Amino acid sequence: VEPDPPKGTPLILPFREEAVAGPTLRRRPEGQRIVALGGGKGGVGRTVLTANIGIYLAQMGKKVVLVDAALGGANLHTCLAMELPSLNLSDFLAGRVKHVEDVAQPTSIPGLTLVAGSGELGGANPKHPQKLRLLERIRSMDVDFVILDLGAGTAFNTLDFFLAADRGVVVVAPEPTSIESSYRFLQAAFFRDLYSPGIHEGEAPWTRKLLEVVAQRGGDQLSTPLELIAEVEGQDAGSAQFIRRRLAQFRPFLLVNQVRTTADGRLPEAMRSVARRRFGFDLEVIGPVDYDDSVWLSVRRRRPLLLEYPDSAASKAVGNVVRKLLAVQLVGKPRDLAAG
Amino acid sequence: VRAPEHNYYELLEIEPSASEEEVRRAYRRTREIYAHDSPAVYGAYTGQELEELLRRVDEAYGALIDPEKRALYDLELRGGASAGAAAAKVHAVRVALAPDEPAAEAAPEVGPDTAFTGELLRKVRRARGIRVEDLAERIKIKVSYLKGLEEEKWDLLPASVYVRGFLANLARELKLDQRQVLATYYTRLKQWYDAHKRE
Repeated sequence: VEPDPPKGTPLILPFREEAVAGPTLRRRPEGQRIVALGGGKGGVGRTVLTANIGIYLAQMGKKVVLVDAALGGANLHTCLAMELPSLNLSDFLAGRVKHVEDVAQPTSIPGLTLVAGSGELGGANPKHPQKLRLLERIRSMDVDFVILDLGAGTAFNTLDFFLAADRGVVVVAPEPTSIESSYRFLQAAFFRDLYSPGIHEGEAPWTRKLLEVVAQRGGDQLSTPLELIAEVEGQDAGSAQFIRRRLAQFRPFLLVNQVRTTADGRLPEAMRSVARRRFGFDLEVIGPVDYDDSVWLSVRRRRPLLLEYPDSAASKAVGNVVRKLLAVQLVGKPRDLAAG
Repeated sequence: VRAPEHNYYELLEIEPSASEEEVRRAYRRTREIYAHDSPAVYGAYTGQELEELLRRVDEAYGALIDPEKRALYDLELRGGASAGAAAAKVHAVRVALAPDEPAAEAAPEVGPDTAFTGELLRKVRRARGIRVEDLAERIKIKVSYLKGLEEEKWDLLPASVYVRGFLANLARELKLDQRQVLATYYTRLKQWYDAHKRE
């Protein structure tokens, strides 16, 4: 079980001043989609979902690579009934191999490969240039789908992987701790995006300055994007408009997992309402996935759910999720890597 | 800091064309989602904030479920501009009668070379017949900040990046050239801030 995220993560972040990467050298394969599963809380079934979404897509004939980006807490390989491969993400991050493809391992499912997580101490905290290199390489991988399994918490690395995806999926279990963490995760991701270098270029000249002043006050006095907009509005309408636009572009999926009761089943729409009213986030609901004994049975047997219990309710729910992911349109320019 | 207010329909997350039954269903749903023991609000609202929200949801329901009240409310909503203009007229009468400040004063001369000062901004405001309180409300700043600007008591003002925004909005509201106000008044103020080592 992954650890809970730390309490009281500051939501307002100082501007990042890291060097930005040079232009992407390799072209992104057409139609390639990157999906990241995140959400703040550990133990909500994210890793099992990642594995089974990957299997489902591969069984449909798609070329899929799963990337265990739960840096420092990797166990995606276990959900695929594999040992931690000797070559894994840490070899790429440390520069021991040149291409991320070099550490991608075949799985027992045709079309599905795995970039196993870093088992190395220190691999949990890659330096910024390494992270950019990884993201850039992922973008140029010749596959239909890249699925990133993110770790718990709101560490900058986790948020950056989430933001680099074409679509992020926030995975929630119907319990208060997970729900609270998911709102915090969404806020942290949105503010991380807003406070990225480069994204203010060509915008209202006062936006950056205004955001800096707000950041200096600390997170206690200001907590949601809507409140930020209301405050900035009075100072500079252009800056408020800019934040509103970023907010409209921020469109994560919400996936409620382990649904047991009728009330749990109403949770996605309820959270969607709260996220919009309170924070201004326009979430798109996928799933939900019902709680299913076959899931933990499959984990215990170390056999993927879809292979062991293809007709279970959970397997069918995974199918629904996959169909939604397949419908994701790649509109406009994907988020600029240099801003990551 | 508060998020913007919602109208009654937005509060219940329904279209203005919603039927009575839809209003009723939306009300039940909203009460349920935002109940104190609802898991969906966990970590998003404090108990007090929920209380306030539910009070407004009740108010919205009370107005929308009563056909007469709803018709009045719709009129007010749809009226938008004309209702606003009517309100402004009522307001203007009140301003003219306000004992603390004369409704109007001779307009000061403003040319392309005019260097704006707090005193000049005050004169322009009075010539337009606008009270301090009303102007502060219109540009959404504290009355004390507006007075600080007019009386040039700059030690009362917040960080310069805010003050710049205040001045830009103030100039717009008084129909003055924003660039000119900033180039003269704000430049002087910024020098003072720098000399006093203020942000």
